[in-house]
Amino acid sequence: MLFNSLNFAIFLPIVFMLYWFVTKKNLRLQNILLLVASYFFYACWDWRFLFLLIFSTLLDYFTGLKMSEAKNKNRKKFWFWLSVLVNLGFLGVFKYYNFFITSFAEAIENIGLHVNPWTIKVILPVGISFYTFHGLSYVIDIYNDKIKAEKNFIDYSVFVSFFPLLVAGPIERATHLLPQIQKARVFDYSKAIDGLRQILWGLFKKIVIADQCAEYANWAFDNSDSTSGSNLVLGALFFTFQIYCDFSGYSDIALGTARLFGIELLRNFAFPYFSRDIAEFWRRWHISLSTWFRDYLYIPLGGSKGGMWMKVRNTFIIFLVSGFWHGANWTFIIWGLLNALYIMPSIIFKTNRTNLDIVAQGKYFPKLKELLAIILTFSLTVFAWIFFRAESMGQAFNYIAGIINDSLFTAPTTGSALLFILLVIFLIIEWLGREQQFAIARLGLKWPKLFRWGAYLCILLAIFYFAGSKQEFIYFQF
Amino acid sequence: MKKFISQLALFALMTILFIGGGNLVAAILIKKKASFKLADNIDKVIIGHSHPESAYNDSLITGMLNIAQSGESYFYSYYKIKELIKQNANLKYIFLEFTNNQLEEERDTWIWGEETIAFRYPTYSPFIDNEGYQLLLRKDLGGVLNLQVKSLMKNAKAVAAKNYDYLKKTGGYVYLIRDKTDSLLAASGKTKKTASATTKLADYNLKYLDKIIALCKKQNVPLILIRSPMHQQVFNLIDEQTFKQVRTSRFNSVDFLDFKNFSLANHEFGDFSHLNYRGAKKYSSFLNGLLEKRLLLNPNKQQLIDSAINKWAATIQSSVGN
Repeated sequence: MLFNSLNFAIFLPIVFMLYWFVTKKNLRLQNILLLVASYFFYACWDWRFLFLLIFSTLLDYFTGLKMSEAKNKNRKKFWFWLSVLVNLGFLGVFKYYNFFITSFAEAIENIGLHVNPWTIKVILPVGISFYTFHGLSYVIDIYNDKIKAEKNFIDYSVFVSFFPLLVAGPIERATHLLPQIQKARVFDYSKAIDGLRQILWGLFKKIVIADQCAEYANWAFDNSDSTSGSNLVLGALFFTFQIYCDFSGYSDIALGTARLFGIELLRNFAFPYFSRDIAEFWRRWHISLSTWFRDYLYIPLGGSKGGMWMKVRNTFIIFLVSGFWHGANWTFIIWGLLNALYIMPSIIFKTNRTNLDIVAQGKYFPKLKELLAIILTFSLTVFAWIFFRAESMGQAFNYIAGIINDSLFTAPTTGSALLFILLVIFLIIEWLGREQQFAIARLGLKWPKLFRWGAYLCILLAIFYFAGSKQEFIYFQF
Repeated sequence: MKKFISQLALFALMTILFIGGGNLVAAILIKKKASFKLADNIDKVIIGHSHPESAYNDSLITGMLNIAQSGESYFYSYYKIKELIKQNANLKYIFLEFTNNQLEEERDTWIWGEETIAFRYPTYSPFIDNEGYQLLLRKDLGGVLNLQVKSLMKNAKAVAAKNYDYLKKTGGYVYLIRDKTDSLLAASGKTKKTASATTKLADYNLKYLDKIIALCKKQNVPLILIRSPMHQQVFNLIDEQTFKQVRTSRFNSVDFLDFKNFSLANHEFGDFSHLNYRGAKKYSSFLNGLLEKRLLLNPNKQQLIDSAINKWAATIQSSVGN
């Protein structure tokens, strides 16, 4: 069930009504309802993989309990590693098996030997990377004595499978989400309205911007060997907006939906394309994943405590792992590597924490220096996205080679005037709203109701106008 | 909570009223002013999908207007014909493409399929009746709801610009330049397709052909089913036997003119089932010749066509020989 589908438009109000009216604010009933709704939501995609989700939930629930009950460290370690290995094992089989086996076969062939790799035809279960990371953070936190194991199976299951975040995050932490699930929720009018506004903006980003950009980005990547360099530059730009609006749009809908149920999820995006350096970009892009890697990989590896060499090594590791997390393809690894290289100067010169504030806070326009820094950072990310979007390394290199030639200076023939206008409007709204949780969080709050509603209606009309063919969210595949 | 629900309901009502009301007003205005009026010298029209769209160069056929359109199912043709008959007392004949692929089950999705409905519904929405709406809502509720805004925008724009020329909006001859028959032939040698005996028929598309026939009969406008030329190597899911069986068992009461075997060279086809501008020129002149010989008044129309096609083929053979 896609967030941008009629099915979800029917599903959400039904669950909402049942949640607030039928369960009579009974916490236990509310959580059971959320769990049933979440499993139904997941089963709509493929009911067979529901068993995998339930198994993963059971595994982490029981290993969590066993770790809490363990009387000695070895026992605790045993249950911890059992959970980690089984979780990563599933991820490995479903997501990475074919990649490793074919890469191994190719490496063997390079030294003159021939092997027939035994690949498996397996569908990647939607959201496996996300719910596996949920579970992992939970067992790691128990192992490190940061939290106690959850005894209520329903509450724990809701933490893993809460439908707004089930298939593409944000990747939640038990320390943040579980207490909210255990606490009685009270309906809050302003939060619910805020949630609706965030859903509206998420749908706008997905349907009006991402899906329209997708058309031209796909065209550029499909025709990279026959079109001009200027068209390829525009194609990469369109993909840059597509991926941001697709994923942050999804996150906005997830956060807004959760807010309707009185639950606050972790923020996932904070206007990353207005970043002044790559370090700031990574503090603003897919925040729940970046902080996950920081807390569960970078810091356990020693973080920045062991001197410059360790800092550099650990930075490379998390970016490579982050790239690999996105998919079993060398293109993602190179994307991760590129970002590690981009961030290196600021790590080495210790400037990675210079831009902690919001750019041009309280002002309409940035300083020239800030604007140039934003453009440079943005250009670097556009270049890296070429690897992320390409289906193979060959395609990525061909794409780049296609850009760097005389045709780069010809007039582009791709895109439409309407899309450019939409992008400009979108960027202006995002810029004006960059100090908020999401761009239209405060838009029109002081306007007369008629104008405010008129603005919402315009956004809604744009969504319906462009809602032709439903495109899946890119991050469903990760 | 009460406040939230009431505000939400109010906003939803406002939205529905704006979109629904806007569509209703635009539809009433368009229905009243839409012009399907044919020029005085036109007494025949050809309707159908992409095959007739590119096959009939109407500038070469006396008194004919080509208003076929790519991807048009009989569902949308029905509403077009309804308006044409209503507005044109001088309309003497309606030619309607009837060919193998219109019988395929897949053609039903040309009525409500995601791609075609998005393209066609906004234009035709003012003319679709209750029965048509019921079918669309049953088959693609989400699609129809999604398209309300697109319809509103398109129709409001037409009203604002006073652009009511629906003959132009709903079809016209397409001058097809494509010439890829030879390359297709080279490729088809590698992958031989075979017609499947289990191919199902397009229930809804054919149901609307029934409705077109009934409508024309009721309004006393002769309807002629016509099959435009196809390349000999064309692959049809609905094979000749099934095609013949469906035509004779279900549509035998309507005249059928078959030009499938009209002989053209590879470079006169855009592909196996579409004529390019060269083919359209030859075929349209040929058809015009037959119409001038009073083909439509002849009791043995197909015999006349077949003998003319044979003569034409023989002429071509001899010119190639010389």
